[in-house]
Amino acid sequence: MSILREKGMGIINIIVILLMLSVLSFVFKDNHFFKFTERLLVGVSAGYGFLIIFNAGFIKKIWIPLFYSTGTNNFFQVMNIILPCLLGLLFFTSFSKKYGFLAKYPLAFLLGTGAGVEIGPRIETSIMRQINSSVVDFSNLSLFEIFNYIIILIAIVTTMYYFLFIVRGNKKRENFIANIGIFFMMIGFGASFGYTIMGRLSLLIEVVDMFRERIFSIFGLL
Amino acid sequence: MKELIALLIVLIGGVIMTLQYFLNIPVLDLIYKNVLDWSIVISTFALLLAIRSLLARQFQDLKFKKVKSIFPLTTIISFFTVVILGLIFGIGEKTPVDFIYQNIQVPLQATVFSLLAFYISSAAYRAFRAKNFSSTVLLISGSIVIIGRIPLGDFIAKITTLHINGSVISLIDFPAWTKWILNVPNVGIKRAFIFGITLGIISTSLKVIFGIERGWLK
Repeated sequence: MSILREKGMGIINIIVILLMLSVLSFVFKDNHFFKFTERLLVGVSAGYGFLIIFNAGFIKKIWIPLFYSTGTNNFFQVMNIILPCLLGLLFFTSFSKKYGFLAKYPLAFLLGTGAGVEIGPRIETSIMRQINSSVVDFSNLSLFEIFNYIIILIAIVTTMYYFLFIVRGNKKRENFIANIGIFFMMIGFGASFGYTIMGRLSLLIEVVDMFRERIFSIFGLL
Repeated sequence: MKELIALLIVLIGGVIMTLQYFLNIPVLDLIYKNVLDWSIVISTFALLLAIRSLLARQFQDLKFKKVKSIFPLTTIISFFTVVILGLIFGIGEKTPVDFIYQNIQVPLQATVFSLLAFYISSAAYRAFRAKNFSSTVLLISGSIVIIGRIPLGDFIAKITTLHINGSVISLIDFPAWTKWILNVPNVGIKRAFIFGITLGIISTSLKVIFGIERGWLK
């Protein structure tokens, strides 16, 4: 049994290696092997994504509460499950010319509540907390830390100045402060770009390592 | 009338959800919790619509033979195989779906993303050119981060280390410079971007809630 399993894994490893090679073949030219693997990945990912959301949405939020949970007894609780289902089903009216407008209602619900849910936490986390972290008490900091905080503050102010007050194409208004903003942005973009390059290269190395492991396991070297 | 109902749903939903964050009213908290559950359920149906769209496209390709039949067939077969196996055996650990995920999705997804290494390197070759002051700053900053994150950076820092009066100073310390660039100027501009993006999100959200932005209704 274990020999069969090993042979089975060997075949699977060969298939995976071939599929990975077909993806990498895109570097040379778009080809049928790449297209096949691309479609396979789309199908598997869509299937997996479907199962995850089906499990989290349908099974956990509809099926179990309706048919297996003892807590769903009163009318309000049942309607709390049925109503979003009915609203969700309205999406399918988009195929009808006559009732197509009904598909906008679940969309309106998601858009309205989604927009409302975003505002409060965004103000707190992305504005208030960022301001708190940028403007600090210097009394207990070393000289180097104070220097760093001043640089951060200058970078924030000049970058925002560039985006908020410089009219694109108006060379007269491109002044000293905006140029400092551009200088900081170039440092940031260079750093982010370099960081991304290294991240992608690490991933490539990881893939080569995965490749090596699978080849070694085929020949029983691992 | 049809549009008005949709706009009212957006307005009421948006205002209640915004207020529940700022006001400490138990009813609003209860509504918020239920709305989150409702959103998950409604999104499940939206997903069904998306899957329907994906499959319809594949069947269309198959019917009109826009591409070779094997490509849409591959997507259709792989999708249904995963879904059927998942519905029968579940999606936990050591299930067939987990096996497919570990042996097809993970390696292929990693390989697809690793492809970007080739393209981003080629983009870097074009972007990192010292044509003017700004691009020179970009080049220097990018180069420092790249060297600082590979063993060469550590090696250079090691061979240029000086011991002066018991303290250790490295003359060319790329890893430390990388850390400084990422933690100081980079943080500064990221915060500025976050402020800008957040103001944009808030203004767009308000435009949607109050019916000024109606692109989604068309």
